[in-house]
Amino acid sequence: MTALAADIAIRLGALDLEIALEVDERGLVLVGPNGAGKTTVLLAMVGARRPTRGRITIAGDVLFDSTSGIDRPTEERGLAYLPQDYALFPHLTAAGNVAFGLRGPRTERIDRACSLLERLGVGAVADRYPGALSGGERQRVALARAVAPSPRALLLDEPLAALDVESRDSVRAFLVAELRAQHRPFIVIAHDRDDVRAFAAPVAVLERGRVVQHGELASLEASPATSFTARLLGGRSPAPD
Amino acid sequence: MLAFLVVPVVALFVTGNPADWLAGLRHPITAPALLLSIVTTALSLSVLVAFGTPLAWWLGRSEARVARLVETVVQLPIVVPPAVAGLALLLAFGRRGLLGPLLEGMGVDIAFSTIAVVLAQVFVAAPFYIQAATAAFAGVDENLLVVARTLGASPATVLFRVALPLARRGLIAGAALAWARALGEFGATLMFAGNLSGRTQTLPLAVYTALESDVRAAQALAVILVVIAVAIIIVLRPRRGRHRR
Repeated sequence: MTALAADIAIRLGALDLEIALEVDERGLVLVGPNGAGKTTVLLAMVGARRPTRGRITIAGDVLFDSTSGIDRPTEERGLAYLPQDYALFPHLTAAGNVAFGLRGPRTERIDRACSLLERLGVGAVADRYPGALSGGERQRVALARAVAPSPRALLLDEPLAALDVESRDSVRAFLVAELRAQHRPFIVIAHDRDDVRAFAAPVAVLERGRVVQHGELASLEASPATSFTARLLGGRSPAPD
Repeated sequence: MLAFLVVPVVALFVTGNPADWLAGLRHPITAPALLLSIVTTALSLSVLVAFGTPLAWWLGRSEARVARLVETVVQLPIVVPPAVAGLALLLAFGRRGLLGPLLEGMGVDIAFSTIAVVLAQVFVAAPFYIQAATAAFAGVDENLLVVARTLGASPATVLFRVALPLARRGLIAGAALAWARALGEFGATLMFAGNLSGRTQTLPLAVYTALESDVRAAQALAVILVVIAVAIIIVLRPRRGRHRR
């Protein structure tokens, strides 16, 4: 059992979020309008936002449980998080970024980071600082950094949003292939119909803090529950919601 | 306005000559005061960085109301007149002060000692460092800190390997300002530590003392103060980092 499961409630300012999700190696694409709480879900899973109640587990291991008072610190959860802007450390080179999460002597960590960058097709930029990288290169470096410590699951917040139209297609194909090759549960937040389709994973629609629809892409396309889903996936509009 | 700020400093240099300054440098009051200022400001800056940095880290990252209250308290020494600060320190740490009996029981006598000089400097300089460091830490992107934690870094590791390197320009600028303020500290030191040669008489107090007997010595000391302050500010001036955001 490798599933990442969360059944949590969070109140954060105006946001009243209550969701139950379970993700396996097939992954999950999380969609929803701005302010629906998508990023908050990911932050709660990694331990950067504390749920008011609920339970988060991965492969049966409890990361958070409000009933028994368990709240494992972020660094012990083993969940990789990739924010929308990739959040590469600007004071470290690409190799330094990837080596950050590795353990062992520095030269060994840098060597491992360089081979990982090589494998992801960005070995040539290992010595460059993030400010000197293109959007696609940044994303690959950030992905290399995220997978380097062998996380138990990957959480990606709009990983394609920061890219220009030209690089988007190639980076999307690369990302989908990499996520599949990782064989780990992943949640990816997407905003674009092509992105949602490319990940070929179950889809959850989050609106105003609630999962309003959850299922296979085909079934959501066939019968979208809300006008947002219909607009995003291009299916027929439901009755006004 | 600029002329008003510059003219007094220029006057310090043009109304004397190097021969007078050399004579002033040889004045018996000069060397002990210079040494004491260097030692006490180094100590006060060390104390400030060691204790002020964790406080600024908390202030910069916390959204709690109590943090905003503490931020206001930290700014108090800027608005309190130095002489009042000195009196307050005396009433807190002096022999008959609030903590006097406790300190006496421990065999510690702070008032009118070199420690009092350091405490006075820390008190008046603290807001300059803590404010700058708080702003620098608040400017560090939260995503960087979250990602660092997800990569296995403990909160302390995140502070040392991510937050401090990224906030270093603000920290250095704050430290430079605080050091300059500590070096120029006069009123609180006079009230709390007195004006004892070799023990509590720092450069500003020596300028004041020398003025009564030898204007040349006072001017030489003043020139030293200005030159040191300007030199350190230039050396510590934040530079462009090698990385690009």
